[in-house]
Amino acid sequence: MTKRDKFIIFCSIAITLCLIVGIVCISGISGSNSKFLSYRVPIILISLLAVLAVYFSRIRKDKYEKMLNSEYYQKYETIRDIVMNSQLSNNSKKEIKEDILDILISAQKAEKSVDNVVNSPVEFAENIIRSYLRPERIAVLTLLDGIMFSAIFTLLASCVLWLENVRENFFSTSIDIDVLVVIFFVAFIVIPVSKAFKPNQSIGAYTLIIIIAFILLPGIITKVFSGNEFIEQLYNGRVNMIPNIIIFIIYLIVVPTCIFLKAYIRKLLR
Amino acid sequence: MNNDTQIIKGILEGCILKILEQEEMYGYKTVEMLSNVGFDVNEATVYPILARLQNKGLLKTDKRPSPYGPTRKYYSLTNEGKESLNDFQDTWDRIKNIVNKIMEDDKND
Repeated sequence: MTKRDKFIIFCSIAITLCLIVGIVCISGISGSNSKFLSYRVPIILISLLAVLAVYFSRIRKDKYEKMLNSEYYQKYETIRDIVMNSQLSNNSKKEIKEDILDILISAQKAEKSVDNVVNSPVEFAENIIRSYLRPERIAVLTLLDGIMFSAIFTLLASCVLWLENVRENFFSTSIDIDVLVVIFFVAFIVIPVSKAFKPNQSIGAYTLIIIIAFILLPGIITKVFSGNEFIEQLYNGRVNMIPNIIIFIIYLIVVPTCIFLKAYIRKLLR
Repeated sequence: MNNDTQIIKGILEGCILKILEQEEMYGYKTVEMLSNVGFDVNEATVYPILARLQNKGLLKTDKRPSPYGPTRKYYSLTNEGKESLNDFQDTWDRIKNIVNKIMEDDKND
C-alpha cells in the first residue's frame, strides 16, 4: 500500500469520525427522539460502509496483480498509481496497466531481479505518460478539469441555495464570494497540486497548508483587515453567478465542451 | 553505455522498427532481442519507446491471450513505420560512412 493509499484511508476515517461526532453532538443538543434517529442512524451506517469501501478498493488486487510477488507488486503499485492519477484517457490507462502487468509477469517468470527490470518506477511511469501526452497538453487538460469542476460546483451551489427558498426566482440566487473563492481555490490549486504528488511522497505538510488556508486564514484575514472595505466585501459580499437563462445554458454547455476538448487533445494532438 | 542520451534513444527506435519489421513481437520479447544483440536496455527503457512509436502511428498492435497474464500486445510495423525505417536506414548509412571516414583518416595519420 502506497503512502497515497494510506492517506486516503486516513482521510475517509477522519471525515467519518467528524460526521459521527457532529451527529452525536447535535443529538445531545436537540435531544433524542425516534424521528431524529430514523435519518441519522442510516447516515452513520452509510459513512461507516464508505470507509470500508474505500479500504477494500485500496487493497483489492485483480487476478493478474495477485500473480506478482511482493517486490514486483511494490514497483507495479507505484507505476499504476501514477498512471491512474494522470490525465490519460481511461482506455489508455487500462491498456498501459495490462501492458505493464504482462511485462512484469513475464520478467518475474524469467526470474529477473525487479531492479533490473524497473530501476525507478516513478521515472518509468512518467516516461510512459510522456509517450502518450506532451507536458503542455497535460497542463491544458488540468486547466479544463478546473473549469469543469468550478462550473459544476457553482451550478450545484446555486441550485442548493435556490432549493432553500424555492419561491424565489432561480436567476436571482446569489452565492457568497468566499464560497466561490473556495470553489476556484480547490479547482485550480488544491486538485492540480495534489495530483502532482507521487504515490510514496508524504503529503502531510501540503495537507496542513490546505487546512490552514481553509480554516485559519479567513479568520486571520478578517481579524487583521477588519474595517478594510475590500476584504469585508470579499467575505460578506454575494454575487449572482447565473443571472439569466443564457448564462445558465453556458454553464450546461461548459462540461460537455470540456469533455469533448479533452478527448480531442488526447486523441488528435498527440 | 549511457541510455539516457538522445542518440541512443534515436538508434533504439530505429533498431526496434527493424526488429519488428522482421517479426511481430510483444514488449518483453523485444527487450530480450535487444539485450541479445548487445544493447544494455531493460523493460523500463523499451516500453515507453514502443508506446511512443505506436502513438506516432509507426506501429500497430494486435492483442492475443498470453499464457501467463492479461492479454498480450503484439507490435508490428504500419506503412508509415516502414517509411520511417527506410529514413532511419538512410540516415544511419550516411552517418556511419561519415564517422568511419573520420576514424579511418585518423588511423592513416
